[in-house]
Amino acid sequence: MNVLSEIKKSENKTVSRQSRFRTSVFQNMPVIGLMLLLLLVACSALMLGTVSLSLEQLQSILLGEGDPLLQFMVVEIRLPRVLSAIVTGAGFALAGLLMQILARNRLATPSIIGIDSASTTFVVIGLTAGWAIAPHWLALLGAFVTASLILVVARGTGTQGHRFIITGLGIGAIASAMTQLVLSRTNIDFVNQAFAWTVGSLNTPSVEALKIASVGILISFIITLFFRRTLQIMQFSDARAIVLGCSIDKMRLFCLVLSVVTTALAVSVVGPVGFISLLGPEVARRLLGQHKIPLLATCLVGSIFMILADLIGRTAFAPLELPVGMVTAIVGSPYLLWLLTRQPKGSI
Amino acid sequence: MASVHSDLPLHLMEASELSLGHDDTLIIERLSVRLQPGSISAIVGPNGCGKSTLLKGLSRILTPKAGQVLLDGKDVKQLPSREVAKHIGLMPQDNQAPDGITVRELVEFGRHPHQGLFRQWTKEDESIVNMAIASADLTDIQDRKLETLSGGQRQRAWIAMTVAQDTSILLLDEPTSALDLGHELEVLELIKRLNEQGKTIVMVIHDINMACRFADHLIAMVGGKIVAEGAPEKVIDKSLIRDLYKVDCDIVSQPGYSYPMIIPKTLCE
Repeated sequence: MNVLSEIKKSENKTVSRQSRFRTSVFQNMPVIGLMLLLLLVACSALMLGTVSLSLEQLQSILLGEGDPLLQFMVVEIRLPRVLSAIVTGAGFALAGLLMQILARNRLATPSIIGIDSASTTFVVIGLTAGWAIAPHWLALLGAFVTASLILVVARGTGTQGHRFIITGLGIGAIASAMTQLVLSRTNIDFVNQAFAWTVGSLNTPSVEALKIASVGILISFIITLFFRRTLQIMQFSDARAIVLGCSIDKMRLFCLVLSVVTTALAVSVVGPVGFISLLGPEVARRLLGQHKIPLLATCLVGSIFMILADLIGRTAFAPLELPVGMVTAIVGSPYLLWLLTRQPKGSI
Repeated sequence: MASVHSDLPLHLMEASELSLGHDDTLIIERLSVRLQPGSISAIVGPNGCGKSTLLKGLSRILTPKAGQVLLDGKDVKQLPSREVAKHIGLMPQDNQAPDGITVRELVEFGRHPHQGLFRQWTKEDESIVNMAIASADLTDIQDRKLETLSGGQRQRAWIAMTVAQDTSILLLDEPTSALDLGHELEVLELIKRLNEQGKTIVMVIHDINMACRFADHLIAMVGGKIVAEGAPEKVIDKSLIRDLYKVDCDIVSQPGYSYPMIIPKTLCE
């Protein structure tokens, strides 16, 4: 092969690379589709319920017109719910994605290592003991204390994250047991109040918690976006990642901290909602290709699932309301079983 | 052949009093070696002699228990990780890749150390990736998925990824293991071409005859120590082979070939 033919060849390739732009638009179709789906699902959630609205009614309410009672129902009750679902769904899914990259295991989620059960424990203890701290701050505190405890007991994130996950399993179990213990020894009125925090519910999301969570989760999304390329490198073996200039230990700690913070923020709004962190990244990968780190798609899928689960929870058995965490568990556990019985081809 | 960078600056790499090991066991103790810039060095020796460990130490995968790895006289531990990654490339033995990745996507990852937080994909990256793919003869199959390739093609894809990293020093850990004779030659010829483009190459290799044929410099190791070092025709003799592999052999030199050929006979007592 002479140099000339080589140059020609690479020129040809450059031309074909230009058609890559079209390919990339095509590849992003699922993301655009998910955005539209999110919009559709969000509008449906605003319209459907004990009092259902037409599209015209919703439109006029959102423009600030129409029946004040309906206006109150949509703006004060349904809208915060939908917004909370969008923010926390995205947060749980993002946290799941980060944890899966860290552990190189698509079953690894923040809830498996007990981050959310520990948040719940702190909230329940705080509520029953009558601490003058808002529940969402207790949830955040719980997540950090637990993550630090796991880090100390497991002596770092470890090479494959296995030790870390096992330690998390243990600490999560202890946290759940403590929640049960506290609930069983407390006055029934407190138990009712604390119950929502043990299953995950969007019934009365705190606006303050939602504000903090929105900003926090957005920030962690942007940070993750910046480190996307390094996260991709982490899909290779440690040796290759190090040789490509990735400080693997620092990146692991980074993934862990970001995942824990994001989980804690989401838990502080809705309480522990399982399976979103598992389903979000998995569905996004299926849509965009197994080797991609589908950040935006993961968050979108998480938000969509969360809105849908809450919508099902409050409409399926109306006037009885199922907490959102229960719905995701009912839908999520068969999926988890299916995932476990089906041998995955790769580790992530 | 198109060259990636025909006039690469030669970087000097050496290990000084390097001790390497896992947990409490030391595999290599106080080893010093200087890599020959611009040449192909082959590290040979029996299983467990510390060949791969040395390569891992040189490439920062193992943190030294003592001693240093020096790049142009500077301790690589003190240099930023990305900076070192622009000078030293390694092809480890594992082949763990994300599911469904194509050859081209794999090779593109080799550009990682050259990309910053804000520095996006450039024309230069694009053309270096194209050339890395072309130099490994993968242009026609660049859009195929890695898992659909033959062993030799896959190995060339991994090498192309390392080539795209555009380093002047390439460390290769058993680049030809588990390949048949044809694929082995295919990979070694590629390594030779890369060396002719100015890359310093250090490879761990089991096939002693191939080592003699392709390497300018042999580093023979036993029990974590270097027992012989130099040009193959100078260092290879019956007693070295006995020391390395506990094998009695004949050594023949073929007319027209400068390198010695080893014909193993029996295990010695």
